[in-house]
Amino acid sequence: MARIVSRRRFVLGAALASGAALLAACGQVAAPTAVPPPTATPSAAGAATKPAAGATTQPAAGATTVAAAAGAPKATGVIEITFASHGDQSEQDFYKKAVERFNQKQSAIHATFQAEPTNNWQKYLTLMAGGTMYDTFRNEEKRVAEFVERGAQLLDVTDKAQKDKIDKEDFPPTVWDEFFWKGKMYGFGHDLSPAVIFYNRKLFKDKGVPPPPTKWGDPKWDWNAFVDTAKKLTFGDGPQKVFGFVGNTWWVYMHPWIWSNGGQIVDDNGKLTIDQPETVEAFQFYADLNGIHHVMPVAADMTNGPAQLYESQRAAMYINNTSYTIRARQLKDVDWEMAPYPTGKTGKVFDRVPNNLCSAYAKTPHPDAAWEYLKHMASKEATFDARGMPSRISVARSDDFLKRTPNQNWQLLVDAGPIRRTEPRTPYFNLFDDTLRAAWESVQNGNKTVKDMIAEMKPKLTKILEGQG
Amino acid sequence: MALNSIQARAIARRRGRSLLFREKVDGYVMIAPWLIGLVVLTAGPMLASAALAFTNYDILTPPKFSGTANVERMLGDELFLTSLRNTAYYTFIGVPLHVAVALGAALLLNTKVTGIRFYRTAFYMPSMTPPVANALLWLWIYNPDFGLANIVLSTLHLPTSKWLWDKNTAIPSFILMSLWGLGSQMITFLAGLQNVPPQLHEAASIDGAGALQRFRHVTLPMLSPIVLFNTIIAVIGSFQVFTTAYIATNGGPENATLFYVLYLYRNGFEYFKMGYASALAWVLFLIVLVFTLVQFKLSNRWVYYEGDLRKG
Amino acid sequence: MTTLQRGALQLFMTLCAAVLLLPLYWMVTTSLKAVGKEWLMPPQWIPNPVVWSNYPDALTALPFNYFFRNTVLIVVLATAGTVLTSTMAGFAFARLRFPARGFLFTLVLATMMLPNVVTLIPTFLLFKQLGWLNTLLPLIVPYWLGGTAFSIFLSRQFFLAVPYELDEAARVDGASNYRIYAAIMLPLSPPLIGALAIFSVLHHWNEFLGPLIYVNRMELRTLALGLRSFQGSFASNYALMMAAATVTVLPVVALFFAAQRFFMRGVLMTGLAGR
Repeated sequence: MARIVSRRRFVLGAALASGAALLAACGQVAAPTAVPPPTATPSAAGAATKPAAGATTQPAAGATTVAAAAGAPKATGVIEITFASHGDQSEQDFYKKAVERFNQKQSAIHATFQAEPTNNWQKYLTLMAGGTMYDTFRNEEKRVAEFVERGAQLLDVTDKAQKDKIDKEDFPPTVWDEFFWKGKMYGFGHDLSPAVIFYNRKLFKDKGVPPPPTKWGDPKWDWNAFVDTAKKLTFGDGPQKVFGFVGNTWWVYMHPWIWSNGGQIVDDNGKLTIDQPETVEAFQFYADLNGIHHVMPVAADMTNGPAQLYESQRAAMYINNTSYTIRARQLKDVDWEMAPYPTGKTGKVFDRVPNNLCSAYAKTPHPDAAWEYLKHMASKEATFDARGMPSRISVARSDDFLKRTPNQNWQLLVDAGPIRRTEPRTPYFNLFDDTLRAAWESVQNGNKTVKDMIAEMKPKLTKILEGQG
Repeated sequence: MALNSIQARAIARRRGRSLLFREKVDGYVMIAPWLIGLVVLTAGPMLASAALAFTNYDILTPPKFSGTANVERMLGDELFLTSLRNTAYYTFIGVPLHVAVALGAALLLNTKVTGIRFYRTAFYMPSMTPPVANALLWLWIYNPDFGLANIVLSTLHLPTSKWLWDKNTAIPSFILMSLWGLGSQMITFLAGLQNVPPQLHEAASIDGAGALQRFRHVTLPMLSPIVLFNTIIAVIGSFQVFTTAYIATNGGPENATLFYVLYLYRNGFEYFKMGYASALAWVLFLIVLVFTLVQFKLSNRWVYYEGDLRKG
Repeated sequence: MTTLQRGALQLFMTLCAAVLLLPLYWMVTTSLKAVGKEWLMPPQWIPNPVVWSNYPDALTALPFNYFFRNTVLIVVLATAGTVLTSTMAGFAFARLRFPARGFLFTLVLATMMLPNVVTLIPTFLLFKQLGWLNTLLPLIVPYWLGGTAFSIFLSRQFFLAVPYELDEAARVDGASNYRIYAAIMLPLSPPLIGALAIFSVLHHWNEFLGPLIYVNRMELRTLALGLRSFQGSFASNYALMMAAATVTVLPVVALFFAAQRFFMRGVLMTGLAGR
């Protein structure tokens, strides 16, 4: 008797639901605004049945609930702000320490560190839309445009920087420019992480292969030399196979190859140029490292990330940005060193140098405190042990940095400053990134040709850049 | 005296009427929380979502009416089709398998072997693992180089697999992972099995029916309503798979595990296409509705209800 | 069944049980391995050395004390709401006559079949309007509004089976409907309440999408979210990751063993509900 749903009843329910759909479809023509009215709160019932629900939540959650954070400073007069960052353990340790240092050096503002899961840029947009973004957070120059253009989510600090007479000359010019979007300052940098080739000295020595050069733009270190070197360092079989090279599967790491070859993915005017012959050639060269030369594993083989292969001495060369030096310094077994990307057919080499900056949320209740925090993150004492290289020239050129470990060529990072180029900045970076990332991964797995990828990406990415994606 | 009795009857009648009235009021008072929830958290949002489906809405600026643009977009959206295909694959291979294996396990657990309590616990335990922990655990188990799955396979001299890291094996890996958590379905079947009157089996045995025939003609019909219920719930759940995929693969490799709700989540909460995401949500709703109706329709043919006993 | 068949069956079931328990064994043993030893080939089937300190290390790497507190808070409050409001509604649907009762109950059943994602976006917008984002309210208050459709359904089925003589007698004594609910029905309902509570506890313990959308501050994250954050920071450190995962599994397993009776009865009720 008590069968779960009688058919008659269910059909009735279904009919009702579809009726509601129809009604809605008709109704919306008249009134397209669909935001549920704020008056329709269930709080009356919620409060009546269970006053304790709200009451218990608030004190338990402490001073950090929105209500408390949005209100006046705590009784003690200390302003509470939050700083959020994602990253692996070693990166998080760096940011945590920076927060602690800030709290030690002054007592008017107290910052708390908020670890975010990796790759959560998208979620930040959700938080901003919901009005619950952290006061300050680790940002990247590539993301500034998206945050600003999607409803002005970043705090404009142009006036504050002017008032405090920030020493702009202490930052490389391209880096300083990227703190701005359309003439306004939205971020303040602390760290530059040039992409470089990490290599395993011991493997080079064992195979009698001369190490790569120590300076950018060496004409002998061209693409052919790179392939030859990688070939000599590829040996063995099965799970013990050593690869001459593992790359980073993310497409942004293609920039140095493409630029050095005279191409671009997006030109300086924001137009898509992914089908430029020089660009295509660079993609093809990279795909051939696996497809033809077999010196690099396919993306699907790098289950535990390329770093794991490098760290278990199964890859002689490995490309990453220099945030990785935090981890590299903790490795006991790998005798590591850094080398430049090879020089392209243009006779030049360019590098991608992510500009790690911090931004504040436009709606933070404490803009002045947030600015204090940004200044702290860009200060000498916070940046001297930066993840990759301090953004400030004076700190990067100091012995503190250049001699942080005796056996590594830290000067190489400083020298990357002048050959640095700005990566595409678009308000639709998330979508652009997701789209190209998946396609490029297919190519690296051998499931798609470069030609097909370009043909498929061109219309799609063009639409995305135009905001029609 | 007579007057009194008339009065009493009138009072009783009035009280009866007021009692009935009270019952109506009390009924509504007692379902009021649910009713408010229905209006505010289900019906209202459903209507809002239907309306949003015809707009372009990025949360930050007011929604703009866009006609059928979202529907048109959907028809040309490869990722929409990919996510639909992935989800259908996962559902139509996974759910029947899941139901069959859970039923098989329930049959095993309904036997009288020694230590049955231990077996029940062992079979049920995996389903208690919270989805996030589950995803992390299986990410580790499926690790092609160091994971349990390949260790076991190579010990048995079987070919190993790349599991979640190969676009062809990624969804089968998810299905296998979901089979591990068969516990809750299995227990419902077990409850159903224990409710099959033993006399029916005895009668069938006397008639000379073998174990297989008894299963086919006695157990299965008695269990069919539970199978229907479980299948419907599993299909609805399977269409909405999110957490494990979000954590274990986040749609990769090459969108092979881009499930429908993951794609919907991305559109709504990552790309700020709330209008498009609402349209996607309604399409999912309609799909689920159709499948549920079809299952009820088909159930006429194979589901047996106790009430039907009279007829046959 | 012959002895041989019985033996074969026993063997087969033991094998199945071993296969099903192996992943859990793998999780626990990995969690006790020294960092780096999880990458050994062939693997250590028994960790050597056994590193208990992975647990305190994992639990202090992120503020798990907050995660536990928030999760427990949500579990307790949402479960209380579910039990109270869904038994009320279930009682009304089963025992009181009021206009449109059948129709409304059909709606309960229909919402059981409703995929939650349909309401996801507008509900998010609603909570944003209310200023409830980054509070635990969106994870609690909805469950004070009738719990879930399933819990109402289960309650109604339960109350339908209670003999009518009990409340008739009380009614003759002039007891109100509320009194009948509170003083007669509820005391009869421990099996129902136990089942509702267990399903609710499990649901809220496991819930991920809701917290993911509504909550972000570290101090407000739930265990499920915390575990996700953990994955972000310790991506390749499986020893610590498995320790953190084990910590979220243990309470559920403990609950299962403590309340096995309620559990089975609850499932039995669901199972029968399916008929």
